Amino acid sequence: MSSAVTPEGLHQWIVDNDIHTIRTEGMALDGWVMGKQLAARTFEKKFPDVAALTDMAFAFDFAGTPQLGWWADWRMRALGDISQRADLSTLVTLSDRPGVASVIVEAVSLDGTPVPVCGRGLLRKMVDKLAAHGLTAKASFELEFFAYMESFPEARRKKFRNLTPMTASPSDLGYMVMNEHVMAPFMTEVCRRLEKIGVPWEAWNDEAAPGQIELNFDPADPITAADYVHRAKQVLREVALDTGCSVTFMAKPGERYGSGMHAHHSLWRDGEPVFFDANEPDRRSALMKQWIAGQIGSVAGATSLLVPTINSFRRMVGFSAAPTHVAWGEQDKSAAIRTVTGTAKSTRVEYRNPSADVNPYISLAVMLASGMVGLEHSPDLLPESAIMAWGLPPGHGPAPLPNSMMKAAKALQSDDRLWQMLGDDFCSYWVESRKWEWLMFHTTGGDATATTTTDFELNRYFDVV
Amino acid sequence: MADNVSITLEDDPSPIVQILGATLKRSARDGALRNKMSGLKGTFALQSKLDPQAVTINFDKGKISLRSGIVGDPDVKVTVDINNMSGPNADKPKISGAAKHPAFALAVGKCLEPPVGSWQDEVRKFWAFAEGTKHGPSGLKVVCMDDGVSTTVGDGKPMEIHGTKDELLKIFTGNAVMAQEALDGKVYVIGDLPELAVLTGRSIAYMMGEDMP
Repeated sequence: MSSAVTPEGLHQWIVDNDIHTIRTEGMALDGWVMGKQLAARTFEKKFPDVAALTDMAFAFDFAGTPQLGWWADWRMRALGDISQRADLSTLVTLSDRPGVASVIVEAVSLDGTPVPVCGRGLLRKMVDKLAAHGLTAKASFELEFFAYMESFPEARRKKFRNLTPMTASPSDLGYMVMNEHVMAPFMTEVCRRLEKIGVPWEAWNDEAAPGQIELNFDPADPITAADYVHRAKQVLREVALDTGCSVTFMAKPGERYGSGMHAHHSLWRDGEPVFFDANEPDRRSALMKQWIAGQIGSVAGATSLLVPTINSFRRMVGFSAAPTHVAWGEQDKSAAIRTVTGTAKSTRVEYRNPSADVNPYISLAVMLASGMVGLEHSPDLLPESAIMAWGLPPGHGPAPLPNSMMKAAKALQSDDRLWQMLGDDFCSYWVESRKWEWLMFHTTGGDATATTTTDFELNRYFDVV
Repeated sequence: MADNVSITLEDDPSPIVQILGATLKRSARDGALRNKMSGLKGTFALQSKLDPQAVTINFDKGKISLRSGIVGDPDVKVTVDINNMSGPNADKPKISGAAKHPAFALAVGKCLEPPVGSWQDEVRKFWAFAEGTKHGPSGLKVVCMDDGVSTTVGDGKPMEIHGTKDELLKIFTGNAVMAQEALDGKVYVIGDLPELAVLTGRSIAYMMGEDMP
């Protein structure tokens, strides 16, 4: 996706591509894409801080209600503005909208300092911290989502219930080429558009539940890897809007398998992978073990950030491809953290907690932060799980992961090392926003005793997360 | 005064459980109500008539436990607009089981109405909990619009809240959300948004009993 456009070459690029409008795309704390359509001349004139948004953009909840209950240093005392800082390396033309380009932005205060709750800025901070260790990371996401034959307006009219999955068979089989045949017209257009904007999709397939699709991307540096998801979710929504169907990234829109967003990552030094050691019996390097020790030690606190909504926690049940316990292991898909130890270049960690509704920048920031806790504090590495981490009786085996929004928020609050690594300004805002979401669920129509996805969740999250 | 009163909330309690738990804890500070609680036996449920919120409270001779939802077949069940349970315009509740368990219903009703002081006393108690919160006001001036009487707490430039005695009592005893009352025009505010936001957060925390162990 990397663009060769430089600040000096921006004007010529606009002329050469006959661009009249540049769309800014920034990601809200909870993952929706927000921006403005700027006249190209305005973009040029104002670059790099190209657009102003109210700081409330980071203080609205999923329903657009201003969150009141706390404040933050970066916020104005009245309703002030923040800026969107354009990253020219992401500037691309949109093939389906001639004359329109798109650029990914980060939120900064008017004085140019990063807004701490901007996920992309947070990830950049973690990438820089990792660089101070002499390390870089490569990451890739597996994005799962549901596609339905109904348009968004029709789905809303049906209250998001009893929708027609984009599939041929209503079974939970997965990988069925027959189902992929039904999905193909939609996904072919998605992939065409992704290629036009430089997002290297690797594969897609019919996933376990009816209408569920998994879309994979090539590995990249962390910010670019998260940009791929950012752009892909936008493209998926736009193709759905243009073709009269709908998609959702809710973790659990129905009763069947939920949607996750597993992330694979590995570390590199001077262009060489550092997770592999052929001399170790388990072929894992000491650095990899330190990294995992940090990640598994912080996995409970990280759950708040990786499982962000009321609905996300409905995915976290045993035997459904989602983790439920503080466990890690080689090729163990019941564990929160799966290691894949192959060759030097393919050895990696797969973090399986994140649900599909996670902010991808925050997701990778948390993985890097918790890994760096391992590098900097050398905590003891929890023994590798020797048993399946599902279906365990209470008090047996590894500790359970937090299974609710408030339990997860408390786990994050009690994880001093992860908190400090990510920063107090980000974490305290996050925890308050989770308390707000929990309060909204309970006091504006959610049912605390419901064991399945509620109307509140469908109405609040279906077309927003 | 009976010492054998314990109030236990469910694991991962919902807001309504926390709020009713806090209400009972406030009542338990009063000797007579604490004595009353220590002798109660039965199950009481409170259900919102507007949304799915509900709480079931089990009284067992001083051991009091609260859970979300309607659990089993409570002896007494009250259905009411839980956002409007106090004050002169309070919603009229629908009560079932009171005829069969009149003494229990009456006693629980009393236990759910902890004694309150004057609005000035309640302002001082709330301020003792809320003062010093980052981005919050360094002082608070509260003006009663019924008679113009005011009280000021804190040392710095005060944020002002104006309202009737009933409204002031509601927000400073944890029976209403401050920002919501301001948005609804029930109280008036002279201050800035961070101050209102932070005090609202503190008022919600107070409502849920974070001022008590």
